[in-house]
Amino acid sequence: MPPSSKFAGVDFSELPVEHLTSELTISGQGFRCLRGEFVTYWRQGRIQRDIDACISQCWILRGEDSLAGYITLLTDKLELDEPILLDEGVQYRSFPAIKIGLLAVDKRAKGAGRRLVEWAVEYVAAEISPTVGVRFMTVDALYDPDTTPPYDASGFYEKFGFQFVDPNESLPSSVPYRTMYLDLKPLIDLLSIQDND
Amino acid sequence: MKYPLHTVSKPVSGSEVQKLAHALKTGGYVANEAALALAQRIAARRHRRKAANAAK
Repeated sequence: MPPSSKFAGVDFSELPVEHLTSELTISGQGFRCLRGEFVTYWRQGRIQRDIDACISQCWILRGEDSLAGYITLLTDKLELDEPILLDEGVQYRSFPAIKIGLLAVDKRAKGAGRRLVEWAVEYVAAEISPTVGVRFMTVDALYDPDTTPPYDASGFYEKFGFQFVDPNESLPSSVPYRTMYLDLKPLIDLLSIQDND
Repeated sequence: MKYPLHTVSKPVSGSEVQKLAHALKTGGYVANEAALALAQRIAARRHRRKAANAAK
């Protein structure tokens, strides 16, 4: 069976993103990801353990009843390395954020990663932001210098407008990722206009 | 290097801090073309979805 055939013809842009709950059991059998640790985290139940511990929540995409991808979300804060708006009498050092913890897709599931990220951005702006203050989304984009060439996930997130918290960060750093952020305000403003129409 | 199950976000630094300060001070935002396009795309999708649901 050629590797691209499993999800061939599946349009992930229209498929529902499902909340992973105890009633939704997905083994992950046959899930093939470019990075093996994301398969291991799923199969060893480590994501489920985080959910049970209320550390994160997970949403999945399925195609032909198989796991095509998953994304986890958890709370975070966008921290600044220096206070801002001192002249205005405030000293903001951090801002509320929701973090994309893990994002993994089957390498044959074209468009599944994009669907999960865009769903997550919409979900946070439309469902969470109106009830709990959240201004940003963050992600720690994998950067693995041990592969040739280095495995760098940041380009994927840049397509959605995520920006580096430190564009001048020297690589490789002590940890295998670069933190990026997305300001949700443009979308929140647009949705607010829509709601008032 | 394996991607850790849990990561700690790094702080915003350098010129990005000033961009954020300006955005917050002026009621604006920090967004590039890709971010604005994403916002437009999502808003348009929601609008189409609402219209389709209303037509049912």
